[in-house]
Amino acid sequence: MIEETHPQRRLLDRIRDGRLVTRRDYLRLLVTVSGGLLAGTAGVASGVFRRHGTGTAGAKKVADSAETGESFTFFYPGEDNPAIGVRLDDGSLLAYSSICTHLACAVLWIKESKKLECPCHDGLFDVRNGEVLAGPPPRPLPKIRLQERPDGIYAIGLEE
Amino acid sequence: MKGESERMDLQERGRDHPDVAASLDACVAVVAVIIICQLWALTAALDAWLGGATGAVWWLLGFQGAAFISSLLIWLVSPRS
Repeated sequence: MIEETHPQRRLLDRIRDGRLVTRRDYLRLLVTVSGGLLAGTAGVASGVFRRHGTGTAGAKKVADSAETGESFTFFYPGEDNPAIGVRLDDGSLLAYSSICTHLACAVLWIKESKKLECPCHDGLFDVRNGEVLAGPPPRPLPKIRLQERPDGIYAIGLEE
Repeated sequence: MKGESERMDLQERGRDHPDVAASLDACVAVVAVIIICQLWALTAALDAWLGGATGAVWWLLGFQGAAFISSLLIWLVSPRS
């Protein structure tokens, strides 16, 4: 018969008692989870999660012209950053990222109410400054600076 | 002497002495509370990042580091079974 060593006997006792995981094992598991949460936050800080409406880009022509009260869509700063521009009745030209800050649905220009609306959860944004007027969006829409030039409308940067 | 022999007997059977078990339970409880705070910090960091408040993210990362070191120290100083 093979003689059991002390650690083996302890392990066998634990198995017989149905106590495979000790308190110290639980503690070690929790410390590992704590390290994982630290790693997750480090990932957030290092920019693993992409933020819409950020980045840098040079001047880019986004439209030839814009009629009063009408909107136009374009991509800025990158090709995967949809944006919406609006010419207001007073002639001012404004543009925002068209990705809702709630759950990333497309934001639409509602001509009748003169507001930017996310139809998914009825989020409303002020067309003057992108601020949230109603609904669940937690943050304003990122604003894009536009410039009118003789040959068209240009996006020239993002407002911080 | 009786306490010592009881301790040896419990160790022989792979069980924690009640004092050790209580200490380990307390350590588990404290680290669990730390993890709950870390979960909040991770959520707050993601919200701050998406909102463009990168300064707050670094503070929260520092908090996470301190929390992890705390839980690590608790594990290191906790009594052996």
